[in-house]
Amino acid sequence: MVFSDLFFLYIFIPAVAICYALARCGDHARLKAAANGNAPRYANANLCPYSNAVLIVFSLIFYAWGEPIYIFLMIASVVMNYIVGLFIGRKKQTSKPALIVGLVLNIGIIAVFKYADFLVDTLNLTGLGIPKPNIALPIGISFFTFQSISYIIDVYRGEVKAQRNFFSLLLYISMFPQLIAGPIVRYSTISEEINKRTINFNDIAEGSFRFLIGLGKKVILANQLSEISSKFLDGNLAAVTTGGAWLGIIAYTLQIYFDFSGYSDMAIGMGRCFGFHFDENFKHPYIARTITDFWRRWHISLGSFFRDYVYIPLGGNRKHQPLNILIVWFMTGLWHGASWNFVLWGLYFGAIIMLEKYTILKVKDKIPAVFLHLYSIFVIVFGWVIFYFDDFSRLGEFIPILFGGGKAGGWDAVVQGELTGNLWLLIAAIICCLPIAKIFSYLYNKSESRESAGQEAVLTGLKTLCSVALLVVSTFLLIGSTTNPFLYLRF
Amino acid sequence: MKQQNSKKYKEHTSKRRKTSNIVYLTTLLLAFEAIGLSLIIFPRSTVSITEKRELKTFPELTADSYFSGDFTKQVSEWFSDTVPFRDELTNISTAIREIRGFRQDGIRLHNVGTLPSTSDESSSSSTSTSSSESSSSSSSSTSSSSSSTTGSESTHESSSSTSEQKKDDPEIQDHLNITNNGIAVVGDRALMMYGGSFAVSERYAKVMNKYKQAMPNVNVYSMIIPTSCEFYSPASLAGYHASELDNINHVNSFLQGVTPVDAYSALAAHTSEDIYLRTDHHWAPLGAYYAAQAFAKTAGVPFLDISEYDREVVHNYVGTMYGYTEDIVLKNNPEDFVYYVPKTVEYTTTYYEYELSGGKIVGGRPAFNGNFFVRYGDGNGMAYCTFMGGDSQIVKVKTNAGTGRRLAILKDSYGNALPGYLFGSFDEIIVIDMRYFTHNVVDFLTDNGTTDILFANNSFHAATASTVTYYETFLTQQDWGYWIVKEWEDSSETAE
Repeated sequence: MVFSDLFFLYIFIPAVAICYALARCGDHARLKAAANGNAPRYANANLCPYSNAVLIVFSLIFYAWGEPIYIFLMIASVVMNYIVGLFIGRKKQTSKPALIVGLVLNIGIIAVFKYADFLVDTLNLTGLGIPKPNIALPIGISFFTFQSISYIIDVYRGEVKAQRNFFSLLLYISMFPQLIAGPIVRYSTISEEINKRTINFNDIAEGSFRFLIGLGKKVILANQLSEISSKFLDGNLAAVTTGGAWLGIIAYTLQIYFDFSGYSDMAIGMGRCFGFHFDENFKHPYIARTITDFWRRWHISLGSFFRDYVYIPLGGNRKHQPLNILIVWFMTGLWHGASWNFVLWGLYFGAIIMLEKYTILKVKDKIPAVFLHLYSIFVIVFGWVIFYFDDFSRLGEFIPILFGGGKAGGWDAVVQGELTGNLWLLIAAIICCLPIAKIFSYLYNKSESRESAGQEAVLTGLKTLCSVALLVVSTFLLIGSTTNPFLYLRF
Repeated sequence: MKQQNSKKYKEHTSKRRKTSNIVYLTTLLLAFEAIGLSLIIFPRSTVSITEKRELKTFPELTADSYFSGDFTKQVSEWFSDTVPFRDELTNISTAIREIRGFRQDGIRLHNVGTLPSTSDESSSSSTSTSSSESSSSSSSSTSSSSSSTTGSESTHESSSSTSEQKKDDPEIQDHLNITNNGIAVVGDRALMMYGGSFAVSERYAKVMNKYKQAMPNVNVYSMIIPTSCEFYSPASLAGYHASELDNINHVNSFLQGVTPVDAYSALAAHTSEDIYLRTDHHWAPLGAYYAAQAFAKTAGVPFLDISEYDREVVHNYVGTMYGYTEDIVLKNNPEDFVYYVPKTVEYTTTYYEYELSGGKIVGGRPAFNGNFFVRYGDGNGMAYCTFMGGDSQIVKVKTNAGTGRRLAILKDSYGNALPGYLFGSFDEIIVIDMRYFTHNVVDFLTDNGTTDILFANNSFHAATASTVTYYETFLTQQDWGYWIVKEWEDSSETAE
């Protein structure tokens, strides 16, 4: 099931919302009864067992909807990590071996289910002729495996306690808002909220607003932009002009941001409605002035995962830093897909970040911001070229077109038509890459030191209008369209 | 003092915020419920008139379908495909999508110059020169493409489905031909960009030559009907379609014993009139009138002037091009579908209808007499089916023309508009669709005493390999057994 689907929006969400609300009432009644002494005091500290049960059941339904068989793999992975976590937390002597076993198993799962075919293909390049295992990629495996890894490492490091309640751990891994396309939520971020959380109107209002923003990003922007990008990038490249190549890859640049950050917004928003506070995954990455800065703003949960669990343990910037950077970016690339173009894409950014350390980062305050932005945008857009084409022959065909080396010339009526035909969409998309909310509140607060009642009413009115419009427009655009899976479901 | 003020202010704001949140959430919940409930309460749609297709049905739950993930996937698709008032709501969504930009010079291109061409040899309608390149391009497209146009969706889908299916299903074949090279909406007129190459021309000419060789005493004519792209495409789009005239001339250069009919010049002389439908992929009945006139002249038969017809109009007609492009300009600019019913000639029409399943012929229905012209109501997007109601049949029209000539028209759907103008020219007209015919054509026409054969196909089909295959098969195939000729004559007599 994907979030941007009528069935999810209008059947799944109401069902989970109603059950969750009833479960919250049950939890409250149970607490009240316990406080009055009419019920036995519970030994464990789980203050919301009913609402957790509802979330687990719906999360399993959500996952089984797309993966009726691999759901058992996901549950098995949770069972394994639960046991490993207990062993790590129990005694010092068992913790290290347990961690190693846990890491081997987690990495083994992802290696088999995500990279087996790729590995065989690569080995076969040497003429081995090993038959391909043809294993289908379980949805979200990259995300839930990484969450599991972060959990067992954090327990090993003593940063969190091992979860003794299996269902609480199952909830952490399987919680449907973040199960299949992130963000990669750290166990420490929500460990307390799993068993004890409060939800007020503000949470639900903020969460719903965030969800709708994400829905709009996906349905109104990303889906429309994908039509432009696929026209120029999926077709016969011999017929693509230089203008078409740029328009196509710029549309894809915008599309992938709105697609992925839209999903994260929806996940964060839904989490908030259920009482969880996930960390931000995107911070307006396209306003970055350097590539180093870009990677602090793009898919933050993945970047920080590699930083905390790979880069720093390897020695970080203390010893053999270039090698550490190389390893981290090789893995970042490979995480995105079982194909060499993703590895190349990762190494491309690794190399640029390394270069920046010795060049731009040292003098960036002396360079006008506009040049830094232009440089960053160019590097990012070119990065998406490498990312897009998993077929190297097409990549090799496309790059010369970008720089005027195509057979079809520079510009034609098709590019002209696509550009003018989507001009407002492109402008709106570029504006939406900017931190609008920050700019708005800056302008708003500049005039008044405090919010008056009238201002609050205006703001609420605007927010309401905006939310209803996002919901209505997105629904219309979803009617009759085929399912548009999120790009990051592939990873 | 300052601290107290600040505390008071905080209390105030938190109360205000709570009220704001409640107002916000209530409004949102109402909107959400209103949409959600209407999606559930109202009856689900079952057909789409716009897209001319039946919508998805609720999937059957089996262990297999569940564990393969098909069941759940199809439930989601069914829910989204069959929303209540689907066509009306899709119109609104199309109108919303139009806001994404503006049309320079009133032109919007739908997959023109960008659609990956299919590698299927039977559809040559593509400007792409390298089929290997294009096939690799379509297979490597992995992004989540959300095609806007349902027409192109069906093309995408069919290009990823088996080529077997493409060849078998005439409907899909037709869609491929029409949308292969994209559609340009110029002003309020949709133009299918013609991508025909010379690759099939010779074969197309030769198959007609074979008909002449097989029936030397019968006059054989070839009328290739140009489409609107040829006459209404602006200069700026010249690079995106081939010349239909060149293709017609190329075919004609290979004809031996077959007489070409110059429909091209007949149409070219009247481009300021409504000779093509703006919102449909067909020509208009008036265009067919001029082409029929050219044919009558070539064949040396009398021809009834248009004044001898009743002019009938279906108002507010929006044809297939809206379904293919979902271009709101077409929807907002409906046209009049004008057709002409002869009033001074007597005729009876007999239908030999095929029974179809999945686009394939599975049987023949008993012959019956009916009207040649089917009256459609205003706003009906099916109005082009006015002529004989469709294609999957053999139709025999007996007239009182008294010319002693008997005509057989072998045609695609363009040809449907022609026979109505020839009732005063031939004693008998048999209409055979290139996709639906189960007899050996030589036996069939010889037994029937046919004196003239007219191939009437549009220039897309004249450049499509499967057209040649169909006509070749008619020459060689054994009778499938539906309405053996004796029975055919009997039922025809009874029908009269």
